[in-house]
Amino acid sequence: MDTTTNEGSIALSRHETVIGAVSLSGDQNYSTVLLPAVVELLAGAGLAAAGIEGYAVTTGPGSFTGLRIGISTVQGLALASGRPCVGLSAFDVRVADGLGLAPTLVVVLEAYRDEVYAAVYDGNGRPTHEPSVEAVGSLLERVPPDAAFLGDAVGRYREAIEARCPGAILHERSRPLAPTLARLAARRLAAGERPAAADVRPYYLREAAVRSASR
Amino acid sequence: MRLLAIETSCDETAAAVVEDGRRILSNVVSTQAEIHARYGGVVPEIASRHHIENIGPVIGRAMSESGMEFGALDAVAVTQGPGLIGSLLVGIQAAKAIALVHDKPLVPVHHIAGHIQAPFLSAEGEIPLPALCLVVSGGHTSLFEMPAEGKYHLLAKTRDDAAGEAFDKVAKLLGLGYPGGPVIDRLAQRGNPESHDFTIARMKDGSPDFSFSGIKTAVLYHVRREGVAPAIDLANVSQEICDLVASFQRAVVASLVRRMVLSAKEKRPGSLILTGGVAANSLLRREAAKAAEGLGLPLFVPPIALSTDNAAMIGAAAFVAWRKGTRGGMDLNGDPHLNLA
Repeated sequence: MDTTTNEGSIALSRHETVIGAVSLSGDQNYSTVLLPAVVELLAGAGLAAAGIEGYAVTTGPGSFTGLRIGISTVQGLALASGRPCVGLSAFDVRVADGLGLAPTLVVVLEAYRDEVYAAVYDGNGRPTHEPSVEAVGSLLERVPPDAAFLGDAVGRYREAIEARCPGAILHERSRPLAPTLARLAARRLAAGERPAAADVRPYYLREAAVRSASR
Repeated sequence: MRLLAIETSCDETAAAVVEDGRRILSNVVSTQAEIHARYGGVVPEIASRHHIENIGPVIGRAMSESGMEFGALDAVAVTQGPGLIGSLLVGIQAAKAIALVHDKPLVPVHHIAGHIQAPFLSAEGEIPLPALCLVVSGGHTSLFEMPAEGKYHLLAKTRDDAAGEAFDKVAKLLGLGYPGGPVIDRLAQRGNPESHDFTIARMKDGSPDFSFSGIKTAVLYHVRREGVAPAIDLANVSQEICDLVASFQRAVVASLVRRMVLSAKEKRPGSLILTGGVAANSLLRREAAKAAEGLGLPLFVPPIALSTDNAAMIGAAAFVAWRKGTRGGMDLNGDPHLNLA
């Protein structure tokens, strides 16, 4: 499950083969559409929820409410069925689509407020910097000009990226994250990992804005 | 009939297993009060962040303490509202997911119905209906008539601040920290409740509603006019502040109890219920008991652990709702302004 942006998705895989996926596109209210989509996906595959052997979720960064909806949902599913639950960052999932594209891979995700969530990897997907939330201008100062850029913020910052990194490869169209997440998680489970649902933690990368509730 | 209940409407992450709406098999509450104390109130994003950290462990502990497996539950219940939307959604998504895995009915519960049903968890014997229910907390101050099980008629509500909110705001302006209820209760015992004549005006239109923003403002003006210095050390609070909070507390309690007595004389219920976080206030408990005695009615007040937000009370209300056939679907959403019908 991925609900970290307003282009969310869910996917179902058998081992590392994705056998079904649903896009939850647009400005949807994930609390009302996520589990009905799960029910539909399972029915299409002729499976019951109890038959799922593992879960996975993107833990962020992204929409705070969105990522919490995804995590609380998979935690409920995994906890109630005693199944393992893999949590991966949206960076680690997104970069998996770009392995080998360039010696440096940069994932830029929409953080609004004129900032991006950014993570920099080598060509094999090994992280080379601490992920950050910053203006795209300051990110570009420490990225080589022949990097490949992936993520949902690439389109918005295309001009700035091309001006600073003329040789850059831009992966502008973002594919849904859930199918890739399903493959990566299946690989981990096949390798014997058994992460507990309660250990899946959100990955915000941005502090909470502090404002008291008027209640 | 055994159900798992989940409550995340404000700043407590809670889960409980309750049998037949009466017997608590487990009741786990993880509170964030100390975290929000730093900000002088509940910060929604921070509340949501703590809920998501705690929801898995709290549900896990409630299940293991109950000695039950998820598959043996008869239903899953969750607070649908009112409350903070980001907080509500954490509990709602987890509850729906658990119900889906084991194909159990999902029962959405109104948070206030939970408070009203809380005394049924602790009462010995039956609570005579109709009951008149005063619900007083940080977010709510309402008077309901419960003519029959699961039926709630609103008689009066606050027009502005909840009573608990007034306690929090007065405590904040006097440097007493958050939450305000317990500290004011404690300091008021050293103060003279007759030292200041704070009165709470009745509604001009003759409405039975409550209003607590005026008294908070009256305390604020008094503090400015007299130059009352906020407390610096909670172990050494001035007599002036003790007198002030004792008088404030007396006025709030008098307003609450007066409305309950007037409605009791009009509605002639079989019993009185006092519930919600502010029901932990010792003066309110005492005055309500006195009033009930004067009216010749039994008063039911849940123990403090069941008065403040918890999931066992949601389990008690869910049992009633479940018997009425209330069910939620996988598209259940949180409703921050849910009405109690």
